[in-house]
Amino acid sequence: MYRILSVVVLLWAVVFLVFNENPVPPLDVMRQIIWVWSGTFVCVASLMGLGKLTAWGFRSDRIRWDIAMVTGLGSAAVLLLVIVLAGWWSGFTIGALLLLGLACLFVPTVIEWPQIDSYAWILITGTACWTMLDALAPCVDTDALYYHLALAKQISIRGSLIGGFLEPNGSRPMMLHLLYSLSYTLVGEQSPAVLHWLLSLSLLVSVTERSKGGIWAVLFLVSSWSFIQEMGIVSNNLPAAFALFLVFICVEEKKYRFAVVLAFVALSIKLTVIGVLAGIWVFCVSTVKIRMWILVATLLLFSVWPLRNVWDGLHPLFPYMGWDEPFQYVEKYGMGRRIKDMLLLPWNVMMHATPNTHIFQGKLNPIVFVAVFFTFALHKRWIALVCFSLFFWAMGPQWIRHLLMVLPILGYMFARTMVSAPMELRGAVFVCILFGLPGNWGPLLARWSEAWTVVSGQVPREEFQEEHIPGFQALHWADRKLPKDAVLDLFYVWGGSVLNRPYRLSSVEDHIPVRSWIRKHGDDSIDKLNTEFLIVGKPAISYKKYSFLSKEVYEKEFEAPIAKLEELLLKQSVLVYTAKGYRVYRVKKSVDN
Amino acid sequence: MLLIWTWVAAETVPVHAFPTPCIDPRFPVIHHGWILGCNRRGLVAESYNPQTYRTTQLPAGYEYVGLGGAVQLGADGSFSLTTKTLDKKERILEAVNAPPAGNENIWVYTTDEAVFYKEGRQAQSVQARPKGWYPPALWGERIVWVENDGVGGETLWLWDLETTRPLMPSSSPQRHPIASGLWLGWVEEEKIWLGNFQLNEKRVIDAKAVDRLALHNEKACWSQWGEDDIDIHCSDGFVLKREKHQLWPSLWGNKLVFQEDGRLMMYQFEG
Repeated sequence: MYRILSVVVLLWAVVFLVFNENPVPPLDVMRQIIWVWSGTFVCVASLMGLGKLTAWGFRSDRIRWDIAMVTGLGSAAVLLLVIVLAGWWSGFTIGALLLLGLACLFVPTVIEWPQIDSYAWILITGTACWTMLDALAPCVDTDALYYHLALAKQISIRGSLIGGFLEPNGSRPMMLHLLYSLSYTLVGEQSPAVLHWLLSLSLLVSVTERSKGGIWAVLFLVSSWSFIQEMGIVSNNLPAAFALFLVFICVEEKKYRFAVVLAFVALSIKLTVIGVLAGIWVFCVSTVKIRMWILVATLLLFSVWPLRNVWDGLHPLFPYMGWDEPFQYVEKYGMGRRIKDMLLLPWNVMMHATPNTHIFQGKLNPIVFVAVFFTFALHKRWIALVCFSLFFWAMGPQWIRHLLMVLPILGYMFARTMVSAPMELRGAVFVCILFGLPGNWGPLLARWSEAWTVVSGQVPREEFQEEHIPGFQALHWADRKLPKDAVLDLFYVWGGSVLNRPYRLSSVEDHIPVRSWIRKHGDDSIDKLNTEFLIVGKPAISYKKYSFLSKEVYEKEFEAPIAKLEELLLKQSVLVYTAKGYRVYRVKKSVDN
Repeated sequence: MLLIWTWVAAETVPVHAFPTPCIDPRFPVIHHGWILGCNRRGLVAESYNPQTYRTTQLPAGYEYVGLGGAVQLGADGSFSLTTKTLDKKERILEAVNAPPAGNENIWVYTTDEAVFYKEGRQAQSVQARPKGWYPPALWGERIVWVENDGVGGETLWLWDLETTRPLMPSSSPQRHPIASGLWLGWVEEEKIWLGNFQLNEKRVIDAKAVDRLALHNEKACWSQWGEDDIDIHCSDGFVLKREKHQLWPSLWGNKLVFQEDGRLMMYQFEG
């Protein structure tokens, strides 16, 4: 009886969705959403299949769902790397890889699915609903625009890997981006964000399940702006944190073969994991012999990326090294690096961090500070791991998004302590989380509300992009109006992923690619590019941000390249379009000035 | 005394009314004796009369505005600088891809798919592929605009309200058309063209214009590289040679307005 009633209610819901007068979102938008979701779910199912295959290769008759997902991600990326290096990248070959992954779901190894309590499921579902809006809205996050989504598109458009001084972002380890490229090729532009969203939700479920701490792990993680705001955008922080968390779990469970594969995956997604990874290796692996075996095996697998750079004639760790100036000035971020500043860092990062400033680039819930002290009630090796990870983080640029690497592990430990915590402590912790919510969720409510207007089709996607992507109009104009085979060179422009064609240069940390190019080639900077069109942006550079540098160094490294470029543009090119300060130039064919 | 007055009148002076550069480098610009400049956000929002020192605020800030008998503000209508009134009848609701241009009662403008000729509320259009950014020119009752040539360059096309055709086929990109009275001017790779359709007169000047062409009746001025920097040259042989670059000239009567090292400058011709 109840079964029939359920079917009737579901049918009624479908009837309402299809036949009500003002469906929101409209049917064509819904069709697109369903396509992106189903396509991306198939991609994830294929990853699970490849994870099963890996477990079967390790002669395991059972594998946890989360480990299957992340090892499958690694296996798929390695196969994609072979495909792209062999020059076989096409819809057909990567489609075949997808089918192979799906076929592997029939491998006899059994996947163990998550088991968490219903309150945690409700919280995770709620989080999924909000963050889904980010995943379905057009990508406007700067890092996604110049790096994560841009690389996925470029690999897909060109059918090859990119890299070198003109495209330095492509010389980073490309594991996750190969997968993003697969989903972009097969499903479309929104798919990498949905894939990332699924991986982030999986991380939430995994930490919740593994900690056996009910809702506490979810509350801990999603109450911080830096964690929840990342879930629906295309990024690599949370997938790297997911792999790293599973390394920690596998090491704790002494599943070292899986730990090696997962460490390789984590490192190949984001090198920043190295601090926490080193902490796990030093403090959590039991014997020297196993430590050495893990180190050698992980480095052997990871060596594929440095070797690729060496093959391309670059520094093995390019683009982090190999420039004629530091890749990143860590002094630019945080609130100072003297001993006093370091001692005040925990206070400063909790009280002075805001999502929209460069100081810490993020925001944390105050419970994170409390959680560090909660680990003192746990194993000594865990205390050492957390302290080492935080120390490593403090030595870097002190971006809160780099703290995301250790946050799931900390959340796991926190939730474990909360299981046996007395009621008064639980209440106090809940109040602490609650008081942190306005500062962390406040900025997101406006963002999600705006995302809804575009997801539901009330605001056109282009209008949304125009409002949120600096230089969108110029990039979009160039993409539509310039010859299809023309390669564009981007100076001081971040939004490369707007383009549906190959491009070069663009930007990364402090615009180092363009500044380095201009300093190296001087008057020949445009000639040496052998290009037809340039797009020039508005570099937001001021000495205030670089006051730790001498005025001479600042002028040489930052101001002189801009002045040189402007001079060359006046001599060698013709301005053909401007919008909101972003300019498109055609390079003159004959220049005799 | 007269000699001193002539020398003073011919001096280049900074225009302090607009200390902030505009987002669109084509502004500030002098039009009907008023200089249209930008607010602190770089949006065109104010006009200044260098003779009367009067300023007039536009209804809002705009990245660019159209220039004709009045100032064209798109969906807001057209704004008269003299009467300070907004005429909503002259609203342009299409998604224009360049500043409109016009004269007393006619506006011409381009979208990505068409060229429009609007007189009062009545508009007619013709299908085209305007490249955008370059304003069209209203040359008598003819419209000249920059068409996307599909290979990265620009070609000028003409619509005489009956047929459309390339203005003057050329292998070089043709850009920055501008009309003043009976005269039409534009920039080609290493030439500047001036044409008068009534006199059927054409002039070709060998010059490599850096940016756009300024035109007032038959007098044209443009920026051009000299030995060390960019100076302003005019079709009557006048050269404004100063230190640093002089860019984005605009011309009205005997006044020449241009940008120099981030500052707005004005030069007044003798006579």
